[in-house]
Amino acid sequence: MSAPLDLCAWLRTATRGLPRAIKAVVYEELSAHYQDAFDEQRADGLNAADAHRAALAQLGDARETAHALREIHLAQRHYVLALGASLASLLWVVMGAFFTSAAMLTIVAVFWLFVMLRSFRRLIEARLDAPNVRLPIAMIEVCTLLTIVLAFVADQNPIDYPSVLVVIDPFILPYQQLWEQSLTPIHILLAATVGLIGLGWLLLGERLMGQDARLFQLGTLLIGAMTVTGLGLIGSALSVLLRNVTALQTLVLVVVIAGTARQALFVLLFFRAAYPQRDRKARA
Amino acid sequence: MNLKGSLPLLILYVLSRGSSHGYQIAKAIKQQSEGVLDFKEGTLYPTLHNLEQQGMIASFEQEENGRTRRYYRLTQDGSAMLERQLTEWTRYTSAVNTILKGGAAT
Repeated sequence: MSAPLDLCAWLRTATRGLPRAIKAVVYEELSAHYQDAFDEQRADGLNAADAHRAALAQLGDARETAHALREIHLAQRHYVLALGASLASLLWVVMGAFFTSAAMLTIVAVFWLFVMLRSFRRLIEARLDAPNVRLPIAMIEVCTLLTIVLAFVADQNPIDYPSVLVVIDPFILPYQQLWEQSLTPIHILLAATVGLIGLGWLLLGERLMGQDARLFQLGTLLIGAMTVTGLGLIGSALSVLLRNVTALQTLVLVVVIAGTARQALFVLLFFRAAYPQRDRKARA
Repeated sequence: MNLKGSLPLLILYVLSRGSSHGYQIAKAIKQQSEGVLDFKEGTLYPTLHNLEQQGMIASFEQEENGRTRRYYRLTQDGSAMLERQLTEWTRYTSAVNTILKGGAAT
């Protein structure tokens, strides 16, 4: 009687934390696997207890299996959340042009950006041969937060600012006010953090080179949008330091267009990641 | 031997020769490698499910000896991926072999 109980415990551990529907499928699949292994051990002459032990040993550590299964199946939930965040960000980009947002909305926009970036990292690590994207994503995240803090210190009204810019163009436009002020160390730091965000996007694009097929055929377009955004942000930070208003205005436009395109591509990417079945049927 | 990196390639290769369920795939890999590529079979399923989510393989259910089994088959995208990975693998092993042979000669 102990053998089936052990198997149940193993299966319960291996499927712990999975969504109910998936749990049932995996439970059945692993039970069948165990049964095949058990039958084969019996056919090789082992008694029932030894065959059971051998079949369970063949399956390995239930917790390791559970961890790996959760990584695969719960990732879908993250992609759905990221789809929502990237869609909200994209809508914000469109709507934000017409509104000056409240502090809370700016914080929400930063939250969306972070959810999106974290899920993107997860997707990269799950689908690609582990290119290291932690550094560029951390650069974008940390420098976005620093930009907000520095802009606040520099009195550029970062909180009461259209949060569209948090997502695609972190505080380039406030720089235009700098024409009326002297360039303080805070402003130089602000330009540096925006430049580093640009560098982060550039690096992220570079690390995804040659991965178009594994990013739902969107890799090339995403790399293009990230590269243009990155160069635009770096260029605009330099324009601020050099006080070249014509260059700054042109680059702001470039970053807004490329940033909007990048957000739209993220929406498509997370849709395809969250609903792979629908995507496959559509392609068929 | 650590199989983690090459397990998806091996699964795609086994499935290129016909639909199989998890146990058959595990057995094929172990038998054909004459026991060199040994792994805990529970870890096969996360890899199978990941490949399915990526559209490289598709699953279907089939009755077998009164039991419902989940079989996997290669998709078109999976075939293309297998071809690419085989080419990469051949280039990689050939480069390593060249170095090792050179190292042995010196």
